[in-house]
Amino acid sequence: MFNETILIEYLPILIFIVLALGISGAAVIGSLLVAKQKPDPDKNAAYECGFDAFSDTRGKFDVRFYLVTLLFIIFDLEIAFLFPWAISLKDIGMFGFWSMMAFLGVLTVGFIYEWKKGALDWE
Amino acid sequence: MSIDREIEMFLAFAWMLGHIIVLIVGVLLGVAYLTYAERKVLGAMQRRQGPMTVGPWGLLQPIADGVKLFSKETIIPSQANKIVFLLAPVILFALALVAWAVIPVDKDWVLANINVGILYLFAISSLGVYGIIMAGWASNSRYAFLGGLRSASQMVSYEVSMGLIIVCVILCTGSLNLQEIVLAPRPIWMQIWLFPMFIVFLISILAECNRAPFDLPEGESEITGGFMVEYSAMTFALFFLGEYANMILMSAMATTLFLGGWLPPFGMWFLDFVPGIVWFGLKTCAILFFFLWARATLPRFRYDQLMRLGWKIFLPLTLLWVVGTAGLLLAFDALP
Amino acid sequence: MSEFGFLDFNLVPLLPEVFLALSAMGFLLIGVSFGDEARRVIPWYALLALLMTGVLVSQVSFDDAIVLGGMFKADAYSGFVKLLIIGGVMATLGLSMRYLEQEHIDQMEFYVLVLLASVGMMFMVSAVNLLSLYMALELQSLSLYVLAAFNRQSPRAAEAGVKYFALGGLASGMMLFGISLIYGFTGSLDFGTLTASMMVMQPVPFAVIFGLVFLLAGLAFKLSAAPFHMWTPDVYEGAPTAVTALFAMVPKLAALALLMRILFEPFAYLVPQWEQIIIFLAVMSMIVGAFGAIAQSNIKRLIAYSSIGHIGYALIGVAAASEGGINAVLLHMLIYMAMTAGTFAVIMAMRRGGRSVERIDDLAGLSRSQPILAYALGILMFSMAGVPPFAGFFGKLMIFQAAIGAELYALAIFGVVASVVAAYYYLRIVKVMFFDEAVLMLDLNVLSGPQRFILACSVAFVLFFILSPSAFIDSTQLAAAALFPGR
Repeated sequence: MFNETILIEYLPILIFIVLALGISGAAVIGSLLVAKQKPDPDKNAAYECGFDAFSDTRGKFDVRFYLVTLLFIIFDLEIAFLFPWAISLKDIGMFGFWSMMAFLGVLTVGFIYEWKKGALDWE
Repeated sequence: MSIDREIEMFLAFAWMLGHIIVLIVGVLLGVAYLTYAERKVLGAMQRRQGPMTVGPWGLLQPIADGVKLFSKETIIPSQANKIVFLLAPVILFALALVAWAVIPVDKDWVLANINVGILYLFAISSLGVYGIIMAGWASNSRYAFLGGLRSASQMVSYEVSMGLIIVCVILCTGSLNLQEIVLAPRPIWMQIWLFPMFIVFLISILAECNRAPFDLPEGESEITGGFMVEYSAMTFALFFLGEYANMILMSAMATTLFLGGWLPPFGMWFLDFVPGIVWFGLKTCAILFFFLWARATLPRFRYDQLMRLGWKIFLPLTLLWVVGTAGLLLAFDALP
Repeated sequence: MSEFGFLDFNLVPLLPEVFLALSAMGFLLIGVSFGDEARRVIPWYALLALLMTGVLVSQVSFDDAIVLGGMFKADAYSGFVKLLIIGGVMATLGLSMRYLEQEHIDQMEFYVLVLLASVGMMFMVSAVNLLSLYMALELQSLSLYVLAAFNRQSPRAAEAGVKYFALGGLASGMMLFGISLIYGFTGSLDFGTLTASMMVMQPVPFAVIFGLVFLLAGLAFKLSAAPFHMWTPDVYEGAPTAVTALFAMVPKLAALALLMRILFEPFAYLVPQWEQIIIFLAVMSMIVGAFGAIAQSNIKRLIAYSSIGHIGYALIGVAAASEGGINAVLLHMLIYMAMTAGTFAVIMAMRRGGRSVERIDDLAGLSRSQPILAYALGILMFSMAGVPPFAGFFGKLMIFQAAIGAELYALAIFGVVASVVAAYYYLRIVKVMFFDEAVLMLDLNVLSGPQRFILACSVAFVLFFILSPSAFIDSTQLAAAALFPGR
């Protein structure tokens, strides 16, 4: 019973997702069909400053983008922990509060380390 | 199963479909006239008139734009990963639509009143990054690639502080359900305490939507439009629509979290006769106006400033605020 | 106010671990804030922190207690192993300080990572829940992955780090799979509850045994027991020598202690099932250790194979499944750590023209240029080979005795044969040092004070162990007895 009511609540969302994907897909395909398509090699070349692209795009890029991603994963996980904690703080009381503070404290140490090491500096 | 029950179920289903279609049409109209409003507001702020030619006061301009974009040729670069290239705008736009499923625009006027509404909203808005990364990667063009990376890091950076702000709010309201968040009692001291978070949230949603002054991913002067550089016709239009739909969504989210959703402002009960959806719309429009206002007045940030603001100012501030909120609520035994 | 049963929240048995973790974090902050000034003092602070942790361990860790909601157990066994771990880590730090300076990788992160790995290992020894076990193991492993690649200028160190990480991740995955099977079929992660359900469930479901096999495979990787040893030679060779010293001494002890706790607490009723696996691992490790090392020309690779072989001997003691067996394993590991510390002091002395060299041939003529070093390494190698009257002999002796006590005659004989084969390559080093002509001389006076001190202690231990073996055997016996309460 419990499971059924939960799932029924999500049924409109499922239908909504299907409809939304359908509409936006239909818009793209409709435009492809309706509009006159006249591809030619120059038009279809990658956008550049008037010359052909020298090489494939997917080479090296700045390592700081990786750093940001890693930081994001750490802090996003932290937020994922914070949500249930925030809801149940009344029940878990002081013990819950200090447990989370210990967790945040450890994370903060890591954060300070990154900050001082310059992982957050661009240029 | 009796006939009555079948009819009942059919009606429920039809009502649901109707609701979805109303939502989609509403969002599309909203987006269309947000673009119009943007041009008008920007025009007014620069002492111009904005679009005036198509229809009375240019009111049909968005429709004309839509028809134009629909009937243009879709250029698919020969180097691109075609399926991913076409899928990216579809996903981005669909995501901007489906997030609306949980937003209560009036009392009990919500498509799916799920108990973890805010989590759903947060999850869907984070998925937007995928659309951008897909677009940047699939285009296989340097500008697009760089724009996609920049945009993704930027959104991801500000999502962290947004998440922490949401934690502050749910600490105060004690529920993940958006209706309950709106209806939760908010004493004055709590509103004052949350006000700085509202400001940070407003700035974060600017960055999250890649809007000026944080519109570096587009950065016409350096990367000529960012991840959208290879897109044309309807695929471009979907990005455009998605961006504006996201703006409206984020404004609605801010309204729901901080401004009391469909309730009359400042607890003015004598205004109760006005339908809730009007209040909801007005509040959302106020925040949307803030979006346009920021675009008209502020110069673009540099990328290092943007990252500094996100990681070195907003993140510590919001983290402190979470700790402070939890500590205060515990200390005064005011947890909901 | 609280409806959860946290009121008996007791941190006292955790004090050493908490202290060490806090110190590590503190050093991280100090190091990153003060930069170069901190770099000179942090090694000493780290040693001091370890010393204090050791004192704390001796004060609180030996009393029986289960805390953290059944996640963490302190008893004489864990206390003894923790002291050994701290001793091994201190020896590593003593060896590393000068070496890191010479290689220009003396960053404070090294010490922080070593301390964090120690915290992980101490938790491993005390884990009495599969969940805390996994967490502890990951804390230890992740720190070690980074340490393996610590020399960022060296492609080989990077290779070692990546290899270790990839294979370690695989092993962790296998372990998790095994844990989930065990959890699925018994409904518990707690060692106590698992013991009870093993007692009731007869016959034990096949899936539980299957899960145990995966768990053992994952642990065997951390132990570098053959056939899960493939990473060992490459990682030992590629990692900076200081890190190799750590790898060779401490994590294996922690993993072995963890293995024994798992086998003798929750799975004590499955001895017939796991004994075969352990015997297989022991035999394979001894074969690989004995024959793999013969062809090596790099001394760090040789030590890697030697460590695989020694883990093989230790596993014989585990397979004996008796108190005497555990006693022998603990003693063997104690002696092995002492010998390894000295050996690495000599390896760190192998520098020519200011650069570290690692070939066995580079030791040629050492007996004439630096006779003290040559005699020290000679004694250590004889002890490694298990020649009486050196300490190494007694470790092996006790293990073979335990095997015979458990009627594993074939295994004991196999062990003896393997150690005879292994003696060949240990003695080859002695031969190179004393009888080969040096082409180029090694640098003189490379070792720092702490390194000399550790070498001296190690050699003294190996030489004089025979005078009072009971001093050590008594404490290992106490520790071993704690795993067999009332039996």
